[in-house]
Amino acid sequence: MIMSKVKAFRNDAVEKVTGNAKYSGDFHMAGMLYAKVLWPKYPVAKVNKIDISQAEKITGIEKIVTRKDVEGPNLAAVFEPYDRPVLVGEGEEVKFLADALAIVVAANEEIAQEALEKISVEYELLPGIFTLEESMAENQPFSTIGIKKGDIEEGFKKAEVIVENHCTFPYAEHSYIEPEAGYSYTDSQGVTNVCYGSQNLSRHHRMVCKALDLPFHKVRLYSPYIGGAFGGKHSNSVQVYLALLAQVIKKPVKMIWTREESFFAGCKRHKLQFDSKMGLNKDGKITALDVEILSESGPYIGYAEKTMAFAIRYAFGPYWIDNMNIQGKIYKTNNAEIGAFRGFGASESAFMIETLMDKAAKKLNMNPETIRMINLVREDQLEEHFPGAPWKLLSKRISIDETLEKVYQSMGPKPIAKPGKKVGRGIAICMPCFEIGDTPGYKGTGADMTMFIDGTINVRIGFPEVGQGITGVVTKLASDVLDIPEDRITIIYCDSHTTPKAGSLGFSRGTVNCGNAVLDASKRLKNRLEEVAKKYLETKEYVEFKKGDFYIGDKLVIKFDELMDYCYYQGVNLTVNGWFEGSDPVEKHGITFMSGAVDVEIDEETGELKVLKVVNCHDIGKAIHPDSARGQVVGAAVMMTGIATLEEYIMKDGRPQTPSFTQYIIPTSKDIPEENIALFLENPAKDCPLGGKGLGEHAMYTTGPALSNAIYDAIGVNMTELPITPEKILKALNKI
Amino acid sequence: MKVDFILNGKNVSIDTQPNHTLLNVLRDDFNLTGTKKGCETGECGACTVIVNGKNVNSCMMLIGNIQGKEVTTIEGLSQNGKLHPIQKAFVEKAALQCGYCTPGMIMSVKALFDENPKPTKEEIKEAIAGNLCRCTGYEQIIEAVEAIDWEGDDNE
Repeated sequence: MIMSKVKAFRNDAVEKVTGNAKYSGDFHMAGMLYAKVLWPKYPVAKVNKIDISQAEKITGIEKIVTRKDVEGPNLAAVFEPYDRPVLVGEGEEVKFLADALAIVVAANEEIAQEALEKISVEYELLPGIFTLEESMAENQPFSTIGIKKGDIEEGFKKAEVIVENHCTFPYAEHSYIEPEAGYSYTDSQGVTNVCYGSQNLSRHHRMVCKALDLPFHKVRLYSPYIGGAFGGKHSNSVQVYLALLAQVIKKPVKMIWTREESFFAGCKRHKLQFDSKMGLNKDGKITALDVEILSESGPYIGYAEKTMAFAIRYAFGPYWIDNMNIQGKIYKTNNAEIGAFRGFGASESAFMIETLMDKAAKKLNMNPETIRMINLVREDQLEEHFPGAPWKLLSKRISIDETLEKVYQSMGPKPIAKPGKKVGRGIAICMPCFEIGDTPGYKGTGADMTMFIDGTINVRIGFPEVGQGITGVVTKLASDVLDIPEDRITIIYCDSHTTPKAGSLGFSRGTVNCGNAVLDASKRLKNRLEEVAKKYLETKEYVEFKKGDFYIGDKLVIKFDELMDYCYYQGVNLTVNGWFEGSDPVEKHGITFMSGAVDVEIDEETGELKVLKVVNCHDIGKAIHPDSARGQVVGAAVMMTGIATLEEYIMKDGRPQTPSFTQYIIPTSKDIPEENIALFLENPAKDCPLGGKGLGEHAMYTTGPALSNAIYDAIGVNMTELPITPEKILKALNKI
Repeated sequence: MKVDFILNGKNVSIDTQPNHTLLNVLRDDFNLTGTKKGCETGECGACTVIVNGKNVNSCMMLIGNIQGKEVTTIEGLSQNGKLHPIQKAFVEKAALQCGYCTPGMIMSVKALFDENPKPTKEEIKEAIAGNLCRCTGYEQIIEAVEAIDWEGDDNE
């Protein structure tokens, strides 16, 4: 392909527009078989018998794999202790619809489907728990966590105004357009190779090896391009099944989930509810905050505890509050597994506190901006502000005021309502402390780099490319340091056996961790080349590698090819290992200061809600790749608009009621705001690559509460139970 | 059953099962995996191809319906080693992230311009309303479509 006249915004773009980019379901090997999972008919039951005898007789069936074929503990989950069975066998219990019973391996998908229908399973139905209320009535919480500060009762005594709200967030579906898929095979060294989409390769590698009792070097996991993730590809999907199949059948096999499987067997955004009460004095200063957060997990814990911890940690927003009591309880149900979802509990907290602030502002007859600035934490209070979350302020100052000013400028005057319509404007400010640096579970990130003798470079990184553009960031950083064109760099990513340690691709942490490791590798390589050049010239002067050749000062002293010939014949090692880790094991970089505003138009007769304009401004330190950065913000703004107004994954008696895109509605091109603007404040952050703090989930924080506040401004009702549908708006207005 | 059709400008013939969809045949028999499998129920648009000038969800079309017809997939868009102007606009204007919806999205845009060379913004939104994208919020996609350079140096 002749690309000389194409200025690609990113190095994965051409492959993606031509259809050449390969995703997990796009590969084929000779003799490849097709696998399908047998899911249980009932969400909660004892499995007395799984009879595969009729199914096995079908021509074209390779093998029906059951619990009997699993060697090892048969337990898999992202976090330890592992609690979720790989396959449920005879005499064991299924606890939700995603507890697999068997895997059929056949010559093709149709035969596999036919065999699924011929497997007869005897169930003994058991009572299940399908709502939070049922679980609360029957169980103690599985987990209780919280924080307390000051004296909450004293705080409320000092209050002259009290505001309360009740916020609910239903299950939501990640809705990546690529459903979970992959293939596996055993190679000539007996290594099981599993190709699938992973946001958390190192944890998955541990999980697969432990669940099946396999030595780590005999299991290779790797990800090609991933067709969207948004947190959902942290959890278990096809990887353990595919590893098991490679072990048992020793032939190449693929598994592609249907959309329905992706919906019901994939993890979900946590279902949370908040009951909050805030006391303020007459000047608008918060005196007390009391929050109870209830969460519904599936039968296995998944990410429920982690998301709850974040919901609690950021429930007080960017405000200094002397007296607080924030408690969270998780109750198990037999519904869906909770996964990570862009925003990870903290964006729900932002929604709660920011809608509460507007309620308080109205009660005190204050401006929404004024009440926020009165309570905003000061720089000298930051250390105490994040209890249990050591932080490091890498930016020069808390720049929320600057972000808000930029947002207001961009918003312009509030629109004038058309006849029969009401318009409103809402704002939100947030200050989440992303774990974008080291965290105890994920300390240290590597980046390996090899220069070939023609000067081209291959970089190896552990993070996957889920669409966020990490490959673009890596290319840009390496190109900047080494002063070589971006088209001379290729990247291998996310492979347990060939790429260095990376950890979880979450918390918008890819740029800081991977970026710093790539900078380190680039500097090491540059340094090595310069040392070789110095030796070659037998000089003590500093020889600089720049513009593709070697210089002393401004004088060209060696042409690149000449030194490369020397390196080749001398056997100089041009592979370097870059590494990044914070100085403190619990140091967490990157408090991001952000503001957002939304204008809405509401038809009071129909309840119809139209989002006119969304503006987000985030201080991300530096937009390393401006096009990708903008894409992250405008994309998250639309995703959050969908979650706030359209999306609800409904479960009834453990069964999904919305397992397709006609039932679970995500925004189309016709549902987007009339204007969707991303602004950046670039106060370079210390110790971050080019000063950039990373970006991914940011607009999930600001867009939701600003939207709800805009409705409050327009029609005076506080809409905090998501999704905010026309029906709920009419009910709130007492029209139905 | 035997089906003859024109695929990306070439006459092809395939012996397949009547219950196979165009999507299956493109991916499994012709190894054209640029056409993506997203839902297989006609809801997401990732499998969009052009059949006789109209954009269709190839997952919803049984192969028998293709007899004698002309099918264009994403692989058939770039000619003589040059990107199609729509592809070029997507590449230069940052109109993609994960890329999974991109081939289908581009095919819907192609079908739009084949019928309506000067679409308005609303017509563009309408044309891609059947192509779900979860990453971009559609913003940069719409901008790219508005900025397609039909007269560019690369397009001769």
